[in-house]
Amino acid sequence: MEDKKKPYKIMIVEDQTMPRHLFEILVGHTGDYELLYSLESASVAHIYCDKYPIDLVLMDVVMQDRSSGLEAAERIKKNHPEIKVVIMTSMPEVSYIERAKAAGVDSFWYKEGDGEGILDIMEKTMKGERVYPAATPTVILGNIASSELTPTELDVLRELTRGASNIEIGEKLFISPTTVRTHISNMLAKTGFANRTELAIRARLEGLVIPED
Amino acid sequence: MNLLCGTWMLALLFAGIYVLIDAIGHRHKLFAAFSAMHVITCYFMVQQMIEAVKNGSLTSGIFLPLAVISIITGVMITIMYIWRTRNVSILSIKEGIDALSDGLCYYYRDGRVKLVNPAMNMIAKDLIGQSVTDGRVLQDAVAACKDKIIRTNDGSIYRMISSEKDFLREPVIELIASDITDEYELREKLRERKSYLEGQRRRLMEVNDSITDLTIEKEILRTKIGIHDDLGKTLVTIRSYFAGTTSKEKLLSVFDRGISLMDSPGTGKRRDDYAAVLKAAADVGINVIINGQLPAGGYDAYVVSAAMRECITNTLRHANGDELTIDVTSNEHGETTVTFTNNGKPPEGEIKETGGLSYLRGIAVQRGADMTIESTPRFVLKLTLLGIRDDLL
Repeated sequence: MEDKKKPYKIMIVEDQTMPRHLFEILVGHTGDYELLYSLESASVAHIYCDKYPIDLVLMDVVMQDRSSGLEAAERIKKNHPEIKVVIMTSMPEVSYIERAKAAGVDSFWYKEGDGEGILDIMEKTMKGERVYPAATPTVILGNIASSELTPTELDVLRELTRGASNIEIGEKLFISPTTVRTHISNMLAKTGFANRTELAIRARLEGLVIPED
Repeated sequence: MNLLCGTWMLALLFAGIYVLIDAIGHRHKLFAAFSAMHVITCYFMVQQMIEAVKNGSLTSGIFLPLAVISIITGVMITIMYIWRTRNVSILSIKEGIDALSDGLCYYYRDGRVKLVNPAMNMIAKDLIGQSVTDGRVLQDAVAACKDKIIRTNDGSIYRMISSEKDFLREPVIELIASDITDEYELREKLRERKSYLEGQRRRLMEVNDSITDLTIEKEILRTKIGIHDDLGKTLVTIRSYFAGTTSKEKLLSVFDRGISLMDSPGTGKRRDDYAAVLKAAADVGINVIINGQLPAGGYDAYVVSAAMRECITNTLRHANGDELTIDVTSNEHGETTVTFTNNGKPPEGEIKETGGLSYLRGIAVQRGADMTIESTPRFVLKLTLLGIRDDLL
């Protein structure tokens, strides 16, 4: 890995002011990093990367303006593979890790509130390591842990939280509406929730699945 | 003995008459003819027996012909029974029609009724107050019912279907009343259930939107808690400094961080659709000139801001320009045209729509907007927005 000289030039992409400011303080208090820009929207992140010699981007996933940090990361890695990207999220959405890997994201970090763990991640990433959690955090969903749901069930659940009908879910996932109904029934049986609405709301509240807009 | 023979002969005569009537009723001509001969023979036998009794000349020889006629009668009755059970006759058809729970009516164009079953008469009594005497009256009453569905007084529901048939070269209208009571009730339950589920779906979509805000608030709260803990650590550090267990440099470092945290701005308000992209343009040194009024809010603003991002990227990466001009015009039909040009070098060849431009076209098309790109003599991107309200989509 190319040995870049410190301080590394950092760009933070985080829509919430308070967490963004916290990261700015963390980065500013070390001599290893220089904050170039701090953005509220992932939609314009690639523009800055086109212009400035950024070494590392700290990228949130879910933005208030509906822009996607994962999509922005993918675009940055495609046009500037030399730029390191660390995805940060507090959502235990199961597909984020796989999507991040597919996009070429260098590291992935689950926010823990105080932000101290991020510095370790950044240091390792700049050294060329790819730091990913071993697994998605498990959340409790009714009577079960989220890890007890199958990948297909999670895909169905994600579409369910959009308010999609069985037919719409089936068309999206290329399965029959009957199969969709079966998966929903299985999930209701596992979780103990009374109906699909309760299942969808609970899953969404926990951040287990986040539908793509 | 005479009485017994006479009675038996009479019984055979009546049996023959019964078989004859049945054969005539079923229009079985051959059998009817045979039965008629049988009846006549029995009649003459009875006549002769009466004469013989009067004359006192009745002998035991009467038993043989009596036995033969009995056997013939028995065979005829058996044949009649077998035929009835194995064949469909006009009478059996009529019986079957009358037994149907569905209503059936056939009538000529002038209203004369050819055939009507009891079920249809019962429906007619509920609908027009009387049995079917004129088919047209019933048909008119049916036509007045919504979707030709009739509910009778006992709660049954019928769907009326009529069609014209040809019967012996004369048109006959067939009116069928199908009992759909169970199906209708199930359909009503299904309709209610679907309406309920649709309401749940809409509520779920609304909840989905608000949960995003809720999740953001949770994140802010988590951060605040973290900051609160940090401030708590500051107090602990102060205490340990006074206890002589922490250095001054460490204390100052902690103070510095604490002050920075307390100096953090508020949560901030939601910015408008173009703030981020205009700021990005300014930050990367691209001057954006806007002539006209950009669409405010909604999906149109989303499409235009996406187009602005792509054009800024293009100006920066490919055209090496530093100015982006956006011209906004509207026509009398409510359509808005947004035209993007830059002051950089023109494209070297035809522009291929990949990546961002492809995405832009996708969201424009979804909105029903038109997008055109010119590569020569210079780059021009034009969006034509139809001005459809988001709440009507």
